[in-house]
Amino acid sequence: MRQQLNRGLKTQKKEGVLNRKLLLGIAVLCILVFAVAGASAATRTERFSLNGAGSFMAHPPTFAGLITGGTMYPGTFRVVFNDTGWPTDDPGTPQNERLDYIIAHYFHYHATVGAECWDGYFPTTDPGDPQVEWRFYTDAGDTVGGNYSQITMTVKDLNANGIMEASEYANKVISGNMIAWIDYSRGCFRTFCGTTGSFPGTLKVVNAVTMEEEWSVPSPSLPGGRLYLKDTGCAMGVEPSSWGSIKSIYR
Amino acid sequence: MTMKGNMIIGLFLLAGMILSPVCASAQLPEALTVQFFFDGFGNAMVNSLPVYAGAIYAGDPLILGADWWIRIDDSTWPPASNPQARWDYLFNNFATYNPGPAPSWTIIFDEQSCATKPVWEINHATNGMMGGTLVVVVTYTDDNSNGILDIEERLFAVYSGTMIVMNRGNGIFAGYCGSGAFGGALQNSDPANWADDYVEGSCLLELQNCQVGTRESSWTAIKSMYR
Repeated sequence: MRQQLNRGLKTQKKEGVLNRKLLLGIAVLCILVFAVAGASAATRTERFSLNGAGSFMAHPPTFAGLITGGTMYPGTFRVVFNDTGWPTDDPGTPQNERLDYIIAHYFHYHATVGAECWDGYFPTTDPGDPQVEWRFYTDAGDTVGGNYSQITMTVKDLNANGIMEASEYANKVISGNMIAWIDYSRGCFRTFCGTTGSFPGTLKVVNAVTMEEEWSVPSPSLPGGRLYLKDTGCAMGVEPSSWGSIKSIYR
Repeated sequence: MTMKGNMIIGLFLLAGMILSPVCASAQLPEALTVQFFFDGFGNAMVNSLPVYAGAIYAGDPLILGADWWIRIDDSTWPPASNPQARWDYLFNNFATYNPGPAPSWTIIFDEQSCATKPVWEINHATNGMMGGTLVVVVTYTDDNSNGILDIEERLFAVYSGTMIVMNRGNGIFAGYCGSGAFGGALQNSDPANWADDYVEGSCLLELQNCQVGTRESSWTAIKSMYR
């Protein structure tokens, strides 16, 4: 009887320890679940407008200027095209070899009546074509940057003659899809490795001699550019060790 | 007397020609920039002749409150009754994978991936309508860099594109043509079951007076009076 009682007490003790471990395990699991939910909920949207200048004639073609509005204001931005394989201009010829190459390589003509235009894709749809790079630097010391998965430019063929006149090229619209790379992030963007974005804007020739172009994403009062920041916890590696901890409780 | 009469009529017409552009320009500036924010829904997988549509909820008062839609020509895609085949067709043929440091897939909806270029329209209850063609570029990120577009990675995408404004608008947009650009994000709450996409974003339109033909005929008319 006493033996049975002792056995019963021992069993109760064991059960108590097991229950405590179980409760502890559930608590840790809950913490993990909430932590993961919290991480996935760690998203925010940044808005921006830009104004800067640059030229496709430069090597490498770089457009730089100011963040003129939005949640990242004030700051600066930079966009760099990869011009590997682009020819340089020969001053001895009347042609613009470099611009001709860009138009021929990246743009294609679309001939729907009334909607005639040239659409340009940077990079082209050829796999391996290098992407355009971007960086934002806020005056507060935060940095975010990466690549454009694609920049699209469109030149309207206003007189529908199939020839891209200088006045038509001078008034381009531009848009792009952005992907940030965690290695380029500093400050408050350091933990956001799932950052993407997009923008609508214009790219207009402001100096026909130097072929300087104005890169504009309007507007300071209604910033049209967006960065969607997502903290996917890429830099932490928390999950494997956490699961390891849970397993160790039951060893 | 007849000559004097002709001269008076000529002067009257000339005054009319000079004044009419002034009146016209009061209604129709030579150039107009319109910026706005929009949102809406659509489903390119389960609907044939997919339409994404919604409302303009902020921005230029000229089109604030207007409805918008874009329509995609899916006549070369597998039928909407088989959304998986449709997705596979688009993804396998038109998605470009970039394995770079931040890998992603990009799909371009244009006259290559669709039989014809997608089209768009904006309708404002009182100010009129405008429309044209567009290119839509959608990017999905490969968050775990495994080269496979996992179902979770289809919950969110960014998109952007450029537009052509055709000279076929009406109301205050009659006579305008131009170009534009847009960008935003796409969210899908249940891509495994082909839920609708929610889209939101911003757009910029650069319009210009394309009523060039009217001016040319006016000058011809003035010249013919003095032949």
